[in-house]
Amino acid sequence: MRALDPLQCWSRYEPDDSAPWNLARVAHLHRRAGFAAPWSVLQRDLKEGPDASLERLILGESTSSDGTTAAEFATLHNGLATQLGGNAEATRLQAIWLYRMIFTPHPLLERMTMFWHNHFATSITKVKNAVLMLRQNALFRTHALGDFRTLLTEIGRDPAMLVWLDSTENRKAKPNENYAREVMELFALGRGQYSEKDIQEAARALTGWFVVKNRFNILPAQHDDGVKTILGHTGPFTGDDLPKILLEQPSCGLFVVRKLYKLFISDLDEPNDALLAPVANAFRRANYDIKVPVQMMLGSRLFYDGSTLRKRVKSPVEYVVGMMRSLEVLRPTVSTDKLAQACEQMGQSLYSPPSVAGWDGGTAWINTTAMLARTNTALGLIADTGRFSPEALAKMYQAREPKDLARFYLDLLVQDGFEPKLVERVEATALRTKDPKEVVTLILTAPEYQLA
Amino acid sequence: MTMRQWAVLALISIFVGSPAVRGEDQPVSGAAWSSPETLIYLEVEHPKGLIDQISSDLVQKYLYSVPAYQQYVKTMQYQALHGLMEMVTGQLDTTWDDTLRKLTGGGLVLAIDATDGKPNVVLIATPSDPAFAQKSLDLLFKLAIDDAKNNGRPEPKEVQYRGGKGYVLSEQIVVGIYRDRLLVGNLSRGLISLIDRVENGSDATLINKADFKTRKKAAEAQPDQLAWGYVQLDELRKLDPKRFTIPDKLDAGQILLFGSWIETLKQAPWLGATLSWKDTKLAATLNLPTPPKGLSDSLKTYVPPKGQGASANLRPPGTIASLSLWRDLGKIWDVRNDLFNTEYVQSLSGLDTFAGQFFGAKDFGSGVLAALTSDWRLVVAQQDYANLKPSPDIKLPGFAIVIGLKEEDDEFAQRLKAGFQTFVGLANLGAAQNQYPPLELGTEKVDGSTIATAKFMPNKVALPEGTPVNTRYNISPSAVQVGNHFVISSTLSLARDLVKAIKSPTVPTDETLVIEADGHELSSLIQTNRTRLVMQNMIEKGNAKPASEGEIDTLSKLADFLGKARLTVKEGDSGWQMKLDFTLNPVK
Repeated sequence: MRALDPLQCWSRYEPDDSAPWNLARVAHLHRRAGFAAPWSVLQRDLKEGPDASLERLILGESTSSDGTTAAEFATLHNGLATQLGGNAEATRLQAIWLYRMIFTPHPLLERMTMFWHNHFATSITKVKNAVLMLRQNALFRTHALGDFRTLLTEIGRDPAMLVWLDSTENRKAKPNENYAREVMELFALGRGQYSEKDIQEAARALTGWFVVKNRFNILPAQHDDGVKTILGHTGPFTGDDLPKILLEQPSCGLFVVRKLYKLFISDLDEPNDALLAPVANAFRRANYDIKVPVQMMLGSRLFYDGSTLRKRVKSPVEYVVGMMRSLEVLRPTVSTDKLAQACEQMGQSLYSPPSVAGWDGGTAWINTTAMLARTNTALGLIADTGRFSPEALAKMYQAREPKDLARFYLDLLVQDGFEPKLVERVEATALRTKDPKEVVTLILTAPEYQLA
Repeated sequence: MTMRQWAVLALISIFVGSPAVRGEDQPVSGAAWSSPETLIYLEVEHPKGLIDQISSDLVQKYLYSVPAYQQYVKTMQYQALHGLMEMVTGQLDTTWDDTLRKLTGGGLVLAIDATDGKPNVVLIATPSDPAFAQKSLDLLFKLAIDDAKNNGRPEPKEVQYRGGKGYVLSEQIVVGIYRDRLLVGNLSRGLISLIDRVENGSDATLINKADFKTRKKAAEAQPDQLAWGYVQLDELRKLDPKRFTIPDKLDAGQILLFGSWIETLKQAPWLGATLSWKDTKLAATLNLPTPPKGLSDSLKTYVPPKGQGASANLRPPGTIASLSLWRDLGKIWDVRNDLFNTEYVQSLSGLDTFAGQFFGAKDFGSGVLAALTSDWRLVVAQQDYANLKPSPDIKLPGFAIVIGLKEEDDEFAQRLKAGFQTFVGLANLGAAQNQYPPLELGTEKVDGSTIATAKFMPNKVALPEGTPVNTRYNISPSAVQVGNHFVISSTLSLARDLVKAIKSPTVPTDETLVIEADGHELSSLIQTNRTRLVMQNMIEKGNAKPASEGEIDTLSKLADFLGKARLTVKEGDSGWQMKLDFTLNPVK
């Protein structure tokens, strides 16, 4: 596929003999665009085809995993974040979000919320204010699949971001360049697309932007209202003009699309500009409607190409949330306080990315400590008989005999991701031990299961 | 487990579920058959009373209000067990309730000894209908044989021994009938020893032990007593010192608060307990004798003079819990070198620094503790949450400590007031550093007493809707002197109520400690914070919202059901008694 021209890569996926719409591709779509799906959803989407499946992911399901309607779910979870998160420690904030991800009727929305959290990486370790972090999280969720133009504008006024990048007291006499630098380098354009002078001038435009009592405030007396020249544009610009200037840069669409490529297609290889250009152009033509590149990528031939399957390493959050959702550990699910601690041991603490560049991702997720933590989490779940019974889940889907049970878990969790020898080993284990726990342990702790 | 095994277990559970003994025409106590080396003895003289209580509307209504119980009765496991119980009782031509009453009607006894180091458990049930007991046992044996055959296990054996007939059902279950009593044990030789003791007319039985006799008499004198027990602590300590001996190295705080009680528990040779229950009154007592050599002089400082124990509890409106403790900390301070290790005594000297900071350079022992009486009271009470402005997200009750002051020391109350102001000043320094709102000092006069109080300054600008309101707004620290009492309260409203409550004369009790709790008020507090607690439960336990609501409502119902609770500890020349009473509330 890499040899094909970009237009072919991004053309609409039509199932055929070389790339049929099978269980592996349904599961692939859910792993990348959600957090792995339960058996009933895989079967439904297998039957209904790629277009209906993708549309449902874009729009969200009508009911959540806990049985509430999507609207009730949003109300409950927004309330939960406000009530419990207000004065909470980082672990509790993480737990609240993980809980939401496990039960959400709109997994793609949460994936994209997490994507923007990583893109506009802000850490509570410096912000030290749970309310501000929750407000920022709500901002990401509101615009996760919406308008990048609005999101870029709003994030510049977001108190958590301003605290994070030292812009809480951006005075005329001493402009702070941190936000101006990061918005160009990491949020909108990428390195090499701006000069130091552009940063200095943008910082002047941002003067007078303050955070007062946790709220964004503009103090006109502290704003430098002189003329500035930013990326070739000249005028008495304010902070609100900066996003407009950035979005006019040709590199802006390409920069965001490159990051989306890493999320949906592969975080192992670096795509060339030519490959990304059709998506970036469509993104700009759609006035930066985020749904456009997302839909284009998730419905493309490249997305369903054999070379794309299992070419991403699951992040700790994808790993644990996916496990809960696909194994239907929902009534009750695990304590998300504990799940948050487990994610931390695996190297990912939500609300605490390691730097403004976010998490490295990819192969950086895999090391000895992280793998041990992943294994321990899986073993802990399997041992928790009050929450998860591998036998009962398999029975629910008519897999009663050891061999059927092994097939069921292979299809649910890895599909065609195992080599024949490993499949044989799983089946032999099922027959030998007659213990469904052994089967699930073998799959969840396999290196192949760590791939999305 | 097979269906038959369930049936066997169901029948065994009747015995194991309760303890034992005496039919009206059989004056012999189960204790007369028990070994003098019995370590733990439990007796239910009238099981009917216990069955009546458990099957009463009060308890059943509560049980059926618990979601977990509702869920349990729907489980396959329960349905299978219930079906078997129906089948078994059907074969016996009776009902389950009637079966229980007939098999245990004359009493139940549980005795555990460990003469050769291995626990020997014996249950003695006195059926009100011996023929029915024989029929039940025959059925049990038949079921056990069928079960063994179906599962390829060795069949149970029937044995006869000196007029008794029994069945060895498995390695751990032996049942038999002897002199119209049902016997159940975990070892064959345990039942054989029992029969030998009775047949040989041995005087070496538990009932002939002096301590036991006294406890039995005292327990039988207890009104509405349902069950009672006796534990030979000294024998248990010898048997397994690691498990049953209280370590010498104890936390200094534990020694400070419970010094004499811990010593009693360490040395008492036995422990007695009773349980009584009539209608809505449920009570349990625990008795320990004074250590054989008595308490040391330093530990005697923990024991109040007769009739001059803890003061009556304070009960302002909305009281959730109230504690009253007799502790002469001044005297305990004087003997601290005998009570605590050197390291801790040295660390106590830090309290002099504290006293210097808050009480004008007074010495902690002679200046602070010596000015206080032995009257210590704590109160936890609901607040008027509707009037809290701003209204915090979590509603906390008010907490207050009431200290008795010696009449001759007028200056000390002034020092306490100044100490309160120092505390507010320090809190404001911390608030300024952490950008918290400061505490604003004020005073209020109530019934002739001036309350020094402080409240957190609210935000000038109203916060946007949905902004969390900090827990600190539950607090309005207050201090007030009322006669020779000093009140330090977390809220102004509780301080006000306590001024009125303290005006009534203080009546000393016989007890060292009295704790009262009001389940209804606690339930109301849970309901006030229900939304928050439900959400917390969802995150902490992974429950969906309905399940979390169920758990929180069950907790609230349990608190309400337990009604009013009262725990007392009384110390006298002969020993130590702890009593726990509940006045249960009907489930609404």
